[in-house]
Amino acid sequence: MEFLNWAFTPEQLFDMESWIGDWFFILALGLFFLELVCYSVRKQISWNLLGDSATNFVTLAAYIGITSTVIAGFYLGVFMYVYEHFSLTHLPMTCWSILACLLLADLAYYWEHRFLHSCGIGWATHTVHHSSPNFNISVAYRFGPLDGLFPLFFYLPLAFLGFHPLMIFLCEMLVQIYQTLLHTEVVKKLPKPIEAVLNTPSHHRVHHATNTEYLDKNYAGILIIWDRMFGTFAEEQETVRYGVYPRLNSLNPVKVFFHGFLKLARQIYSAPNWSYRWRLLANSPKWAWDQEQKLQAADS
Amino acid sequence: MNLPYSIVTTLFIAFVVWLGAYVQPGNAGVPAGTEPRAPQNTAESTLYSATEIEQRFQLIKLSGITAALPLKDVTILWDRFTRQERLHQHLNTPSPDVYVLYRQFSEDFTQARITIGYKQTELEDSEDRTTYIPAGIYHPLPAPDGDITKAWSQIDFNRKPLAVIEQFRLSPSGELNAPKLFVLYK
Repeated sequence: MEFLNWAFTPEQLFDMESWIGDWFFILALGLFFLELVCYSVRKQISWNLLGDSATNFVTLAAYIGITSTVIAGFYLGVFMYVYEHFSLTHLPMTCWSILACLLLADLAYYWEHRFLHSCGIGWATHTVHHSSPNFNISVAYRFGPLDGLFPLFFYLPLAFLGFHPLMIFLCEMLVQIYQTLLHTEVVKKLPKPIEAVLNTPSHHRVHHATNTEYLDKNYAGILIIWDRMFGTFAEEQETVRYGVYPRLNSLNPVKVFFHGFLKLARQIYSAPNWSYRWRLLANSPKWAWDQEQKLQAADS
Repeated sequence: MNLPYSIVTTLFIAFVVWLGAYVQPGNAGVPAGTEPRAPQNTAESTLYSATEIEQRFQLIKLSGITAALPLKDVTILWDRFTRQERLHQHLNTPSPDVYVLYRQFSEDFTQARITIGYKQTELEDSEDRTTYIPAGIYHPLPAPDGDITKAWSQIDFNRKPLAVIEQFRLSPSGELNAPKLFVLYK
């Protein structure tokens, strides 16, 4: 256990993050290729699936473009400023700290993810990720325009607690990497002890479902225990139907990337008053959906 | 669990985990492995020449002063350090070690973030803000005739040093003796 006391320099953490991130992307591409082989064997492959996957990678490029040019510098600056000026302490950069940081980053991920599903402004960006009617590794790379911004508010408390920003980014990336691996239909159910503690492809399929009983469930990153603890867990039982309502039915990457914000903008534009506009941003997308149904019922 | 209870539970979990990180071995109480030690007969030690005896610094916490400076201006920091009366008064040994830690070097290695300080274990009352000596296998470089600049001239900057440590023994009369220099390469 002596390795837990090993400490790292910020440069070493940065190198580690870059190395893992780069090589994982190569691995993910390899896994995606294997998924395509499985689809081919089962005769489930189609031009639509391939087009959807290509769209996913285009949204990834757009996301990286926005994040690297607009958000990243601001993001790093805020974290460093809080760490240097407002942190309770400076925790050593050891494996102990990385483990603690990873646990808290996973918890922060749970809340960030729940937030994205619970308010209109969050859903406007996160709906992009859910809008694919398919479920494979490429869907993990289907990002919305502001997916790089919202984590700031949920991971920043870790800098306040004294974790070095580069350690937080490393842990944030490890959670994302784990999440990426969950986007597959190839893996069915894992052994029960694993399904009980860890997030699995089965749990995450439920999260991507449009089935009523699966809505707003399984927000976890690595540990599914957060969902079990906070009452947002659902077991995969009936067959999952993926996507969002109403269906997007488009492979146009521009439309896919911006459709959430376009829809929100239209809703805000046609809202009856400012209170309603505020609720469109702060309330859950289900609230907006219910209001629309009521209006349509009243019109008819 | 409803939302308010979930949030309270989250805060409690965060506190417990943070506390675990805060009291981890080496960060509270007696630091673990604070003394430099020669490594075991590891494979790593065979990567370097037999004359090099690597040393591993683990979780050494320094209390002192830090500034980002050109290396040639380190004397400015030394002047500031000698004026840290409060720090010197808290020494619990008459001849402590003084460490000078250089890290976060500029591309051309003309600037660095420099810390001059004492090991916290040699202070009665440590400062809240501490600097950690990055752990790793350090390569000692000899300082012939006690000339630390001669040791600096042996650093292989092509191997991208991550950290350089100067270590001096402070005599009761205030002189810096027995200089040692250690380099942590990338």
